[in-house]
Amino acid sequence: MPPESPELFLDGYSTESLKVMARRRGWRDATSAGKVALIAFLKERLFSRSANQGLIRSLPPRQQHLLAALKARGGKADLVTLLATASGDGAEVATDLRDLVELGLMLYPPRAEKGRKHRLGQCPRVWLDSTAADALAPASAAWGRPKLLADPPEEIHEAFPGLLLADMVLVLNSLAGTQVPPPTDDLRGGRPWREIATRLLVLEEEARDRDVLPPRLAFIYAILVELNLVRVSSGFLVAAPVAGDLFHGDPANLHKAAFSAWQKTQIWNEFQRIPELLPRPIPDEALGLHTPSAGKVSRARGKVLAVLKRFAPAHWYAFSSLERELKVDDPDFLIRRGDDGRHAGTTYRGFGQRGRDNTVLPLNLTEDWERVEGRFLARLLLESLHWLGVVRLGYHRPRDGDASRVDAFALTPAGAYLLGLASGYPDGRAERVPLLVQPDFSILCLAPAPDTGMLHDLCAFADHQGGDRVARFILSRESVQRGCHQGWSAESITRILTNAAGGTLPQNIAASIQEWEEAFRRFRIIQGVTLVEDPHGLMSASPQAAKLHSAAGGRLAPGLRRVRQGGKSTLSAALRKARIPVRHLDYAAGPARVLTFDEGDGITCSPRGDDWLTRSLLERIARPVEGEPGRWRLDPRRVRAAAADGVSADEMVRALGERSRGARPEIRLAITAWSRRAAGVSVARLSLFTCQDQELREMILAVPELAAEMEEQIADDTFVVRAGRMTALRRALKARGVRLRSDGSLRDRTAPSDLAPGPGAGADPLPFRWRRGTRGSASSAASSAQLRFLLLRAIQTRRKVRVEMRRDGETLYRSRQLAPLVLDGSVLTAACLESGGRWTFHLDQIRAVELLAGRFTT
Amino acid sequence: MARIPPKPEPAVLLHENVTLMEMDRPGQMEELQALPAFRAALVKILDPCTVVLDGRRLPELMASLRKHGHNPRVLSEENGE
Repeated sequence: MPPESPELFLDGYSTESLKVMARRRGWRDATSAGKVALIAFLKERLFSRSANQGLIRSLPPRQQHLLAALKARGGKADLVTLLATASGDGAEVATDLRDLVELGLMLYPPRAEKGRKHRLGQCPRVWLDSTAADALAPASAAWGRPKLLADPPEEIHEAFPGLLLADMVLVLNSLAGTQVPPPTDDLRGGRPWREIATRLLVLEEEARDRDVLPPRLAFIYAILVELNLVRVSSGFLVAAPVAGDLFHGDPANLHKAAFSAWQKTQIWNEFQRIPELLPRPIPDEALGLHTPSAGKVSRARGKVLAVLKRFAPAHWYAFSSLERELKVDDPDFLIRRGDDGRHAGTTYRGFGQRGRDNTVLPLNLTEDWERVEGRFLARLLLESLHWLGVVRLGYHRPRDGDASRVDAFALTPAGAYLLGLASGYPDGRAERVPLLVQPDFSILCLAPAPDTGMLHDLCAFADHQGGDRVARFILSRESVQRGCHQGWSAESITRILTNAAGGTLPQNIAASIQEWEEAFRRFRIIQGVTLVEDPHGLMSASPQAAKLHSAAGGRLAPGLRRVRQGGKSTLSAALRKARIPVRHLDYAAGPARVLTFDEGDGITCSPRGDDWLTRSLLERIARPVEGEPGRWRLDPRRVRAAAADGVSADEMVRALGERSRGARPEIRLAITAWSRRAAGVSVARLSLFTCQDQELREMILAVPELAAEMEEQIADDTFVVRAGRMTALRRALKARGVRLRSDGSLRDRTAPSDLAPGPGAGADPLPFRWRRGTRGSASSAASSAQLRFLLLRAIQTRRKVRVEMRRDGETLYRSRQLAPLVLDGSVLTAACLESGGRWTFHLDQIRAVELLAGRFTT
Repeated sequence: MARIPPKPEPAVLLHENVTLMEMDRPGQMEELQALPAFRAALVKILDPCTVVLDGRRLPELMASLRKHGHNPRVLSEENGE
């Protein structure tokens, strides 16, 4: 029998007793008026604001979190989301929900569906009771305060913010000059990243044996890109000019800029970096994927940071407390569980858990929040926030290779500053110590918080050599001259180093920097220059000569002027106006076909072939035929000299072919043979057999005795004869009625290669004087071999010589008349005809040798 | 024997995209001519301090110069640097 007066019936019961009683009664089936009255009374009694507060505090934690989650979502939520926020399995959470509904703290169905009979599984949404919502506010505020860890973790990992800023400088300067396409958002590989990684190996020891970019450096690179400090110019990465200002500025601003860049960047994606998750194909993509986009990841970072602000700086918290906060506050901070029909189903769509053998297992939307959103949170802490110096990480036990585990965390002072929890940035300047500049040209940055501006300057003129907590640089000629390219001078480099080193700099360092700068200033190469040549004096003869000369630019040589940068169009217009014909010779466009080949080794150059490159090519390998302008003849000595200078036979043949319709085979063969001699092959052993008559050639080769004399075929019609067998071949051929004609160019095959005369000698009478390095003379390329040649001739013919020589340590050359006696290798023993003594010289000490007419006697 | 075509009419020659090397004093030419790579790249001597180089041989020349302790500035008039 239901009590007539519920007040009387229930007066003696405590609130807790009533709650238990209400739960145990089947209220949903109650039909009697007494029970209805009882419910009304209970509601009034239990769910007043004050009573609710007490009731909520007495609820189990799981139910408290359910209520808080519903409150955080504006008092309304779909059941799937709510179930996902709760820990525990689905049945337990369903029981909790039912209890909360029965207690009147949570309502379903919504008002519009009142009167219908609902079960939990049929209700898409639940609502928070208004009185419960009011009561929940103070209670949830108390729950929302994360609890401190009782014991600090045993193992602590901390990344000093100064190192991040320093590495930003080093990464940027290491990347400058790298030829890579712009970065993609694929951080797990791809050619650009590998190329960058190659350049960065010195920065990260752990990357030494990997072929991917170390994650931390990729992270820094993403920040640099987001800050617009990296630009791509003509396929090369270059540092933006603003980088210098930023690095020389306040470190707090730089750190803040890096922190903001990380929040915004869509290049770096923490979700893609969760190793336990793998993409999982889905049959029907129309329902949408749960995989968060880069934009959603970026927004999720902001939500995590908002929750992180609730944690007191410098105190240790369990990682699970951050998980719980976020799960209660905004469980959909990363992945939205839609109630609009999209993302229907019970599993995450688009990715899953990595299983054995890389199989992908489905993850449940309601039960695997920790495995998806929780792991994302861990990845944020482990990588981005840790590298940024916002948090330090703690472990209660060794990590044992578990790269995804984090037990505890604490906000660093820099993190508190960046989150707005503290006003002052921890200044590392006070801890700085001077640079250590050592006499062996190494520079050590010992400071725990290096000055980013100074590092940026150092990178300009010194090579970074890695180092862990100590950045090590090496000064070299190349690095200093690289700095000179960027506008640094020896004076400014020395000043910076002296100031940073505390006022002292090793003397040899300053002197070397000065010397390297002087070497840098010595030469300058300018590409893309336009020169105007007036061989016929057309410009000078023009009435507008002054104007034309002004437009043509500065005079370089008679009839030759250098056109000012950007002045080509002005000059062309002036020449057009003066009606002076102009011929364009473009050295970048490639040569025209201006050469033809005559019989034998003759070359004819068209008058159009008056560009300097063609002229230079012809002068390098041929000599002009007297009385026949435009006609040249291949010169073996000049070819040898060109080969000795490093111009290969292929290059010479190709250059000739580019200016003609292809070089003739005889010319190719001749150049190849002569170049071989210059390359050190003894011509005495290189006897070539050439037979252009194919029929005769085949007949000769058909005779085994003759074929056995050929060592190697080097062209269709040419063979190298076995060493020392040329005479035998000649006799064998003669016996068969074939006369062998010797090629004139190979006639001097008995001359040892090291006595080969230099260029300019040619068929001329024996040269009598050679001098090193005098351009324009016949002996322009005189080398030790040529000096040896003259000295040996002098010894053999007992002729006096005049030498220009100097002893080691002397600066001026002296001229001496000598009677050369013995040349042993590079050492000459000679009698001095002026002082009477016997001297010994090294060939390197001799600059010039002149063969005199007089002879000497021993 | 090939026929030599007649000479073209007199004209002003505009040498475009030339690679120049400038030195700060005349004596350095002698020093550079000791390098085979320089001799190979040398096209024309304009004055004691200015020479025309073969642009295609510039990489070898730069390598040789660096090996001998020089690191000349390479500028480009086309790019306005």
